[in-house]
Amino acid sequence: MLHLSSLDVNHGFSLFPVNVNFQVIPGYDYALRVTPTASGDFRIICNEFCGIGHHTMVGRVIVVDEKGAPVADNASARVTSGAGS
Amino acid sequence: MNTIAVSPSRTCPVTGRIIFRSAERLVQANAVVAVVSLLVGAIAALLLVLTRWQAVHLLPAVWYYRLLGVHGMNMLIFFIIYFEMAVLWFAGTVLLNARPAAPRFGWFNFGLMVLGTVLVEWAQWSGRADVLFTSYPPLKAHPVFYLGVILFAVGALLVTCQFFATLVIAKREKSYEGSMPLVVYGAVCAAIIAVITLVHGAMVYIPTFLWSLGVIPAVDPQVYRLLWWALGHSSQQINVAAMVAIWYMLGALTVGAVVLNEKVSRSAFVLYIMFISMASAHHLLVDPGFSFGVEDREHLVLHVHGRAGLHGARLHGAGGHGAGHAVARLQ
Repeated sequence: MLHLSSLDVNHGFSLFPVNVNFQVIPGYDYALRVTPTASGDFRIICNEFCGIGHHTMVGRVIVVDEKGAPVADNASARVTSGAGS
Repeated sequence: MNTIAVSPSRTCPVTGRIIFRSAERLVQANAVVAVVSLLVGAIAALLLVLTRWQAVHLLPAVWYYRLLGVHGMNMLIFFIIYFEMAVLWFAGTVLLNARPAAPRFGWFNFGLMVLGTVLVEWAQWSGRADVLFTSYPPLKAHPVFYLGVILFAVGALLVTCQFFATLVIAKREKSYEGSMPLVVYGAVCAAIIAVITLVHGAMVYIPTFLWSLGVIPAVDPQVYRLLWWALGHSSQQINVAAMVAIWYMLGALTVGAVVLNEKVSRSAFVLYIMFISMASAHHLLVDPGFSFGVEDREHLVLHVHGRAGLHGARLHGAGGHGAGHAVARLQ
């Protein structure tokens, strides 16, 4: 379960390279049940202008495969192993 | 020195139309300010492109965002609406051989719009409104920014009312015969869309202005988004309707084009007014927003597919009020 909330202003939750783009409005707790279908290194980017530091608001989600092996840098995320449901 | 006796109107040597000087000056003033706004917006655009172009990377972040806001306001609000005002003064008077309704009041409204524009530009260029074009609360700008937009919108709304009054005068004084010309009809459609747009602008910015002054405690970010896009997107529709009307005019004036079927053209304008407003809603559809009273929000299921099906995730969205978390976390 992925919880998204904001304490200050509107933010965006974009998960690259998959096509996920979520609006995070203050005052809510958005709970997203996420079922990864591939392992990889996914990047979080704030996709709603939130102030001068907006472009520095980034993060990552690492999905490991069945063997538990962490995936190396994979911004392009062309994952072939461990793609499950 | 020009010593021609002062006459309220002249006859155009090319088209033979009666042009009232009082209307002509309003057309000129609005069109000039429109083009100046376009220039400011275009200069900002050039600087933005030179920043996004990584090899140049011209501006620091703060100026990039600042000019992004300047670009949005100048292109999508000031340029479009000033030009629309010029079209309304032109279509209402020149094309109907009519005198303008209350031209002095027209100057007062033009003054309101210019004052609003100057306040917005000042707030943006001085770094008091680094909130982009959308200015989504709770991101807050200086009250002068919101006040400027309100003054501009009220001025434009009053000019639009003067356009409708000019049409009434033309009809009453029988300055034209038969049904309204197609170009004026198109301008009427643009004016109706302008009313929808500007009323929403006032509706959204008046509470936001009061919030920025501390008079009211908060503006709901979702209500704001909903109403704001009826301004932010619809402003373009004003221009589209006006532009099509002007195309008809240019076709007739330059090559003597005759409209294939006036009824079809007029029906298209009506359909445009009726359905184009919905286009604004696409800004609201992409994200979770207002629910439609669905009790079980587990039903809000977003299927997300990755490239070539190799990767992706299935999301089950469940939004609701709850304790705030500063960061996203995995459970």
